[in-house]
Amino acid sequence: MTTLPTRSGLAELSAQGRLGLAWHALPWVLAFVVFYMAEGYLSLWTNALIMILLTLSLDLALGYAGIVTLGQAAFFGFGAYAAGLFAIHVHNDPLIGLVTATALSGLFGFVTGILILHTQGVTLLMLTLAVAGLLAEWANRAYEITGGDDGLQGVRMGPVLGLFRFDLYGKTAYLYSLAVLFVWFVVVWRIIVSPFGRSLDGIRQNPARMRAIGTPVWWRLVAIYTISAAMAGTAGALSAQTTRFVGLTTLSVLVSGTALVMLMLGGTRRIYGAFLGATVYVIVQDYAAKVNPFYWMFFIGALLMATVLFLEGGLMDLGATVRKYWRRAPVKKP
Amino acid sequence: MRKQLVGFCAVGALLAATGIASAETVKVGVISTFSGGFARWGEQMKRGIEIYQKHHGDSVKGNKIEIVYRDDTGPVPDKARQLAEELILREKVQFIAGFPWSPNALAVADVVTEAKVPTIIWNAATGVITRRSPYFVRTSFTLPQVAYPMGVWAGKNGVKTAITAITEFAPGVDAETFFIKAFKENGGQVLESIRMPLSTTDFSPFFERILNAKPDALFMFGPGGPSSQGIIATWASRLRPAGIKLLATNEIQEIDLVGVGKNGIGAISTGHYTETNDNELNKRMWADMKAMYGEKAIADIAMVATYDGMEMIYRVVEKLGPRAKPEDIMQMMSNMSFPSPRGRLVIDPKERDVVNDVDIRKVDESGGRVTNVAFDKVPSVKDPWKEANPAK
Repeated sequence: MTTLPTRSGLAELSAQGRLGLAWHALPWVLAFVVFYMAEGYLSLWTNALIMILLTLSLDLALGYAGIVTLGQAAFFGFGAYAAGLFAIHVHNDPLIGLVTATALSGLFGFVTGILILHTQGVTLLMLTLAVAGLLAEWANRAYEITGGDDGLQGVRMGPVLGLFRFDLYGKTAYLYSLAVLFVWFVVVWRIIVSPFGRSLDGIRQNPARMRAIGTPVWWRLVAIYTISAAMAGTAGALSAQTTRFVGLTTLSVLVSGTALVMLMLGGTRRIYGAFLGATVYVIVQDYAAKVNPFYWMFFIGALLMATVLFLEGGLMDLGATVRKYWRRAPVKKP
Repeated sequence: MRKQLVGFCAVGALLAATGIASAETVKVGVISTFSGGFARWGEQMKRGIEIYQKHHGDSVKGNKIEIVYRDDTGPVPDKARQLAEELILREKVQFIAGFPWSPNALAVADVVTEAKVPTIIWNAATGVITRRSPYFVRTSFTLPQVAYPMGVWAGKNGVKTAITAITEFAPGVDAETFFIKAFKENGGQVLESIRMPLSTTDFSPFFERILNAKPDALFMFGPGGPSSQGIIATWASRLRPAGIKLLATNEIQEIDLVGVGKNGIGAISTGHYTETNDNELNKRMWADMKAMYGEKAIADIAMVATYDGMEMIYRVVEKLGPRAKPEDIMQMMSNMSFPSPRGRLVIDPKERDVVNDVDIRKVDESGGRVTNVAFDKVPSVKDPWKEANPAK
């Protein structure tokens, strides 16, 4: 990562060139094309939207602020269980549940952030893992509350805004997730282009210097960690509400790992990297499992190796990488 | 001329009619575990299907039965639910089957109910499952069905004190509840009830506690496969020398005894399928299995439940045709009774759940294999969970 030229995503966001805003409309237009084209596949695409949101939250913490974390699953699962339990015990309105789960995940991120963000590097990585591990173990032991390995059964969701019922075909779930993703996308965009976002860039590159020029480094990190946690919590809550189920796997390290893989696949610090990485991953996984239900993991592994070996900056750098090899090729010839 | 025309049309119509009828494909979606530590479940089910199709062909009255496999990767309920949706919406399957895992079966209940897809449970053994959807029917067994007779047998055969050790998820809790119920009713005393997480692989700390308490017997439940083998192996090396009996249900299968060998001799269990069953269908299944997959292949409960589940589907397609109404299919499947490698498969129409003869058996050497040998039988056991929790 460090060998790459630093990119903040600003270049893309402020692109007012030939195509300008058209580029930014593209993902959302595609999202609507998918809605009308992909009948029967909408639950898969809803899953992709949720993973995009989770990956984007990881990009904020890991990509922009440089917080090395493998604990994103803690917030994803926390949000999922919060939304599920809220629907069962308090109220089944999706929006109220979503906002509550988001706020609670943010609070959880804030508290754990205060506890662990004074560390760096491998120590921090271990601590984020520990937080996720503790939470997963608690959920496993608290059989009466969470259902343990059986998962949280019996989540019944009311209609969105009192109007749109969650249907078997997943149309409501898809549009609902898309709307939520868009709101968070705007928030992320505002953060990245704000002075606060620029200071995170600085903190990632040189915390000592940022401290020297008077930036409250620790508080900035806690703030972005909290936002990232809230966002991951939203993703978890969406997953709970759209599948009407929460399992222990939402808290597993595998979720954190998958989000990280998606981010690396798409490209860090490129606001659309999360979109590209998560989408490609979900499609490849689905396709591979369909082609061969017995050895499908192999394809995922091969894709990852290929990306890591040949595309340092992820799929977002595909164009640039190809151009680089293109230019280099004639030079190599004697 | 006119006669010819009529005749021509009639033949054409007949051809068209039979053409449509014979071109149908019945799709069966199978959700099971094909990767990871529990992949044996999926493999045994796949073999069950293949052996059945070897016996009966892959089509019924010209309707091809097509199997669509999906990997749930283990006890991962959200994955199973997503796969069920995918099978229904994209593959347009007429039946769903499989489910080694109770949590997975419970998680798809809403989906198959809403889509009205007849679903056959080929293993998941928690009592409540068939109550969760009118489109569920089960060909395996229920844990209360085998745990209760174990408790009765123990109480009546000189076991005074016991400790229960289960992995904590729905079927484990069922096993614990009904073993204790039966054991206490028959004069036994339970010293301690240990619950272990499903992901446990090292059982020594738990076994240390059991050694100290010195009960007459340990009653265990673990999901078949690595974790059950772990419990059996640890019992053989630590508890058996101390004279503590091992009582269990379907986890003690020949297939799980491979790693333990003669050390497993003496373990007592209850089960609805005993490998050494002396019936023609069982012998035929074993013979074909060895021919198809080699001498090391071993039949187990998953294979038998799958074999019987396939028989159900074939009977439905034969009688009701390839595009029957789900309600009619459920009606027919709930009233089935036919020969099975276990003896006979009988479904209780009221609960859509299986009624089993439960064997009480002991691990012993027989014909060069370390396997289960039945020495007693409790006939026609309905699921005790349903009796303890009557439908409202």
